Amino acid sequence: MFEFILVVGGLVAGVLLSCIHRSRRDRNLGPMVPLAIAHLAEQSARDELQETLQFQDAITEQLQAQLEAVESARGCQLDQSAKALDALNDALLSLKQHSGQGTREMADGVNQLLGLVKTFERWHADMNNLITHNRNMHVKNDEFNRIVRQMVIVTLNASIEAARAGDMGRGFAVVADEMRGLAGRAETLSKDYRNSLYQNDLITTNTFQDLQAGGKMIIGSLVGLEMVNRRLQSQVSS
Amino acid sequence: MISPRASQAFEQMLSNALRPVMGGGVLCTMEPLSLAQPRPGTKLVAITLSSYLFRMMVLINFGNDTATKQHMAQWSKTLAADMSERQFLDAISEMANRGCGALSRSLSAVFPHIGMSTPNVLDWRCAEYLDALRCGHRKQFAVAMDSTVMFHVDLCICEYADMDFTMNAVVEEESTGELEMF
Repeated sequence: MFEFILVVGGLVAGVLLSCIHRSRRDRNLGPMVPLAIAHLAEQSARDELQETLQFQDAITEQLQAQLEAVESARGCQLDQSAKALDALNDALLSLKQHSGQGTREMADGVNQLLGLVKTFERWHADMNNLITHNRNMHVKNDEFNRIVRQMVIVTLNASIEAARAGDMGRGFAVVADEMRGLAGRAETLSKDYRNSLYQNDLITTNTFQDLQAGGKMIIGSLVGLEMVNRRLQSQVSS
Repeated sequence: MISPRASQAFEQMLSNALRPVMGGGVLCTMEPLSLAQPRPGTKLVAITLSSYLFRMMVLINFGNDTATKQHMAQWSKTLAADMSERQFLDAISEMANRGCGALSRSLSAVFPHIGMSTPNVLDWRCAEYLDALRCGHRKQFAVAMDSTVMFHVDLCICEYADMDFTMNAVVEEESTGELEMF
């Protein structure tokens, strides 16, 4: 815009200087040129100059008006941009605050959940108690089995003694046979019970080991979540 | 259901994890067995690895014979004569713990969330009731040290979703991922 004004101004100044120069040159012709013609030429040049100056003023005013309009528009745009930037900064600050609060709440939650470790430790202790209890039951059942086997031998001996007593021992033989039958059933029961205890050991161990391993899996996931959250907190705060 | 290639991948991972640990510098081989084979030992050490998709129980059957005690003494860098029964059981449990730890790291390439239990020692007769666990996949292996079978390993997997993956995925993951030490 300014460059355009300068170019127009330069053109006008050139025309003006050209007219003045022509006027002076004509004047130097002296008595060879009539004075009236010189006056007319000068008047014409003045008019021409006047018109040019008026044209220049008009152009300048027009350009000035356009410049003011452009600057006004630019000012408005700058204001709007500044307002938008302020709003964006406010939103960003709000987001940062919310994110910070969110990550803090998540950290609290994760920390509380990490307290589950105590629960898993309790389960593990319970499992050890249960295994110890099963072991004691094995010991008692083995003792019971030994008694039952002794009973089988005793009842066998009783049957032999009853047979040796002949008719006198017939009643005793019936009792001894009955006792031997009971001892045999007790022995079978003891073996079944022992097998049940082994099966119980396996199922109990598997169940509690699964609980323990599952607990560690959960704790591992929580620790991973805590690390991610800590990184997020660091990014938000920076 | 566990797909055949997933079963194969589980078995391969188990073998890759256990052999170097159980061998402890001795040539260790691990061959699959039919489930009817008699067990070499009198006790079992059991460890469970759990994910929300499956649980896997690994049982190592062992005896307290001289060869096994000698191996475990060498494994734990002590003398067999100085090793008490408690130390022997602790060494076996530690061996199972390390082997299953390696297995857990391999599994975590496919299943990111996985946890492992501590070992428990059971009577070998407990293994007669493994069917009670209702496993989707079960396999038994003979583990030999310098060609002498010393341990049996039972792998029992109960799945809670259809499982299908290949060993290639595990190898690629392991070759690019960082080694987790614990």
